[in-house]
Amino acid sequence: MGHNRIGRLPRTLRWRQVVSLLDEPSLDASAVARASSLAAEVRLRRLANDPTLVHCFWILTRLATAARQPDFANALAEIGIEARPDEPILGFVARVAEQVRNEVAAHPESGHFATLASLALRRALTETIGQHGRSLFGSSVDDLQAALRHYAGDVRFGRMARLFFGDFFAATLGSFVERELSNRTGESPGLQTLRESQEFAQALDRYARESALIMEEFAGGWYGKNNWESKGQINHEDTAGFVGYALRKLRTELTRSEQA
Amino acid sequence: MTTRALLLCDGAPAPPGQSDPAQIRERIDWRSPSANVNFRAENLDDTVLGEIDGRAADLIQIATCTFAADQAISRGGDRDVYGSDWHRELHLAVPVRDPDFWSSPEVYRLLLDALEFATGDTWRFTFSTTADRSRQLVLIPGHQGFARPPDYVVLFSGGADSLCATVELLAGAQGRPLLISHRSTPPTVSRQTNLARILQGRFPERAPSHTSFWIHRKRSNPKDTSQRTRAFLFASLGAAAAAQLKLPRVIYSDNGVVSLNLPINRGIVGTMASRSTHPGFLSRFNRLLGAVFQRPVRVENTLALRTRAEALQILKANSCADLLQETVSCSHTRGLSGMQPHCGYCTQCIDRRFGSLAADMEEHDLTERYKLDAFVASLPEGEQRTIAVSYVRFANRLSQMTPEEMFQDIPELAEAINPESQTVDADARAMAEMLKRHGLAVGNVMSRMAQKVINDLGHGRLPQTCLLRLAFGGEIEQWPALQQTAERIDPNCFRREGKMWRVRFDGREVVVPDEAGMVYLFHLLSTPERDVDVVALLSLRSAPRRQRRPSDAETADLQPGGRTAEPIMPPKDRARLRQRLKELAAARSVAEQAGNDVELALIDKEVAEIERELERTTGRGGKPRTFQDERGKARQSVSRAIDRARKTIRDAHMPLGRHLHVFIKTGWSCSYRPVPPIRWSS
Repeated sequence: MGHNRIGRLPRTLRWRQVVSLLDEPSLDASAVARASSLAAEVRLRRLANDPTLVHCFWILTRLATAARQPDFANALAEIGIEARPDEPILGFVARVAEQVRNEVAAHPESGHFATLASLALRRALTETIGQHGRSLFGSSVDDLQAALRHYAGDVRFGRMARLFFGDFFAATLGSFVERELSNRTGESPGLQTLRESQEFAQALDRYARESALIMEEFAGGWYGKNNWESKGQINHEDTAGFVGYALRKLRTELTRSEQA
Repeated sequence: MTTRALLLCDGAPAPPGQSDPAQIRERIDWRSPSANVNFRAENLDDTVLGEIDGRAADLIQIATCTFAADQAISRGGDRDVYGSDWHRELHLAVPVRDPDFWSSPEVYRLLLDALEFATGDTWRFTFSTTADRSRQLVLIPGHQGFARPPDYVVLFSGGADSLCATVELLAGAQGRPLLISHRSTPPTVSRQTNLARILQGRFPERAPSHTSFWIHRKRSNPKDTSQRTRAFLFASLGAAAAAQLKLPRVIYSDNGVVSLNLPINRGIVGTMASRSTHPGFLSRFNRLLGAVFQRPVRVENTLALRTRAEALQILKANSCADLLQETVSCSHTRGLSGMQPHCGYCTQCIDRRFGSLAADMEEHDLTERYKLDAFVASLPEGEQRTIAVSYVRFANRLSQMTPEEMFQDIPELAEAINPESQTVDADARAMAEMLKRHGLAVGNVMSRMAQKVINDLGHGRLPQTCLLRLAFGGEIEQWPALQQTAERIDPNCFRREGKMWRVRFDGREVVVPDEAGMVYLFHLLSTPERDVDVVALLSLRSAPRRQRRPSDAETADLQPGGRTAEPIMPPKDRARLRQRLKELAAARSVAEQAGNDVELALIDKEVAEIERELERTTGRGGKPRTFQDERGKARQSVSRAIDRARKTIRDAHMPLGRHLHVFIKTGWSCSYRPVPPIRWSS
């Protein structure tokens, strides 16, 4: 391994509560997720206006729209992605990452969230291919177009949005909690071994993805309406409005879980 | 808020329109008397230095400025959970010989692309013209300087991977290399030169030349130590040398797993994991080189698809396994001794340890060379535990994934794919298979190490937070058979076993690492109900192990009422030395008048020695220092060592830690008076 910067959680009261939850004998992923969201509440609220998160989700919407076009390559070029139809899917994902990188570099104020959004976009694409029954190896941009076209309907786009926000939320929570998780391993009653530590990380990941289920329905509705109104040219402004709303919904979902 | 900084390099003027009050302003300079960067080249094998070509000189100039700027601006603390300070906006004003070329849109874009990928920062440059010819860099040996010209350049860090790559090329008869080293800190110097000399001896036909560059910050400590620009600097040095010597290849090798450096846990985001030899960085850097130099120069990683263990096999296969012990991989270049050059817990140390064990090269990478043995020692909270735990957890994940799952679950891997490649799928599959081999090798090493200490592991004697215990568990209550053993076991035991101490108390046995205070505790437990003077205890550390029993005379002298209040230097001796100082002062004036420099030097030397001795034996207010002062130091040293040892034991065995805390008394004399009395076996 090369050099790694290892971070810790801030020493504020709310973050200390997250750490204390990791020390509970019966670990509860949902409680840790809620406490983390609460500790990061102010910063997470600001994400509604984050240009890199908005850009990544905008790319996803435009990819879905482009897949409906007869000239997919040309439609991709309109959003700054050059790709050949026979290009391997992994090469295409690398190109998307490259396109997003240029946007990320222009917004250093996004901090780690820019990277997490970019990773969520890549994962949404590879999972979409997987859910369409194709392997990442041996598939081409043509296959991706077929998969994306399948998800370009109102309802099915909601599923892709769920993948994106679920992964983004899981990675965000992971980036907080895993700063402390390894450190509590061997100390906390519920984290006595590496296996328990790994299982908890997986439980937290699962919880975050499941929370994003709420996205599916209204993301589909939003996409269908806006795509029709904009004639397939959904812009950053519309996307920003949706992202802000989606993040609010996610937070509400967490609160609801707590009350339940 | 993002940190924004303007850095004026090498006397460059401030660009117009830069009046942002929130912007940090720094100066980077290596030529003036107040220089804050050290920058020079040292050719270790040849004598003739050539004049470097303009573009190559500019590239080194830019790389040096970015390296200095990187260290001048903080990336925030380790509790910056959102990465708000990690990503900086750095604007550099740099004088170069050809500002128009570097400012041209294509070259500028390629430059930023490589830097931003490696660092995660946002970079901007304002290039100005440097007209002063004396500012031209004279760094790289020309062809005429070599007895035999080199055939390629190797970036030689003195770590295990760069050695493996060099040995493979030398053994493969691929011509004669020029080794280029970057000397960032003094401890790296000796190992790089030593290794280069050994290689010259082992491969006389293709003996490599060795050139070093001293480029580091001076006068003040860096505000940031992550050095994500170091790869750009190192690769630039190699490329400039290759361009100057008209060589097409620069070898910059790390094993494939290190090269990808995937985040071992999710708390490591983006460039928090370095990308020194990441395929994405190398391809971007090569694109930049393609624009900068007319003759093709390419940086390549010959170990890109090999794990650490597979890279180390190169040394074995070429009868160079013994050279592994001459290399250092640790990221902590300061605060470690020559005998223990590895901290044992940074990612490099952990990876090297696993790699050498997986390659069956333990005899050339001894455990004793690591300050912390993560397998069996208690891992302190913080970086130490986080890295070790995350490393093994991540390797375990890799070992269970298919290539498909890897590219789905680890989206960072997409950045290692070159979309222009004709063999994207094959490249990706080869990468995934290498990662899987790495995961399996780590699992194999864990099993082997566990087998070695199966007794201690099974009976819960290993510290609770050592790697093997965390991976495999192990609690004494799981082993009731222990109670049925026919052999009589002493209930209390305190015994040294190599570099560890085996301690049994209250029905539980643990193994703890050796440290100074353990010997004191051992002595006190062996001589209960007695007061032992601190000086006598201290002498246990300096005596050979077999003789660690203070003599009665020694102890008696140091007892309260002994000669402890006597001065260290008797008054007669002190008076004699003062008299000698007077004589020397007289002799000095005579020698001065006679102009006898040799005599003067001898007198000065003797005066200095006497003054040192007097100073050593003089206490506060000019009073003679007594043995009591020495005892004070001994008391402090012994008490602290005992406290530390008790803490170590408490971490591993709480009841014993409490027992020792209650019944061991420290002070001018130390004692162990347990109630009720306890017998200890050793």
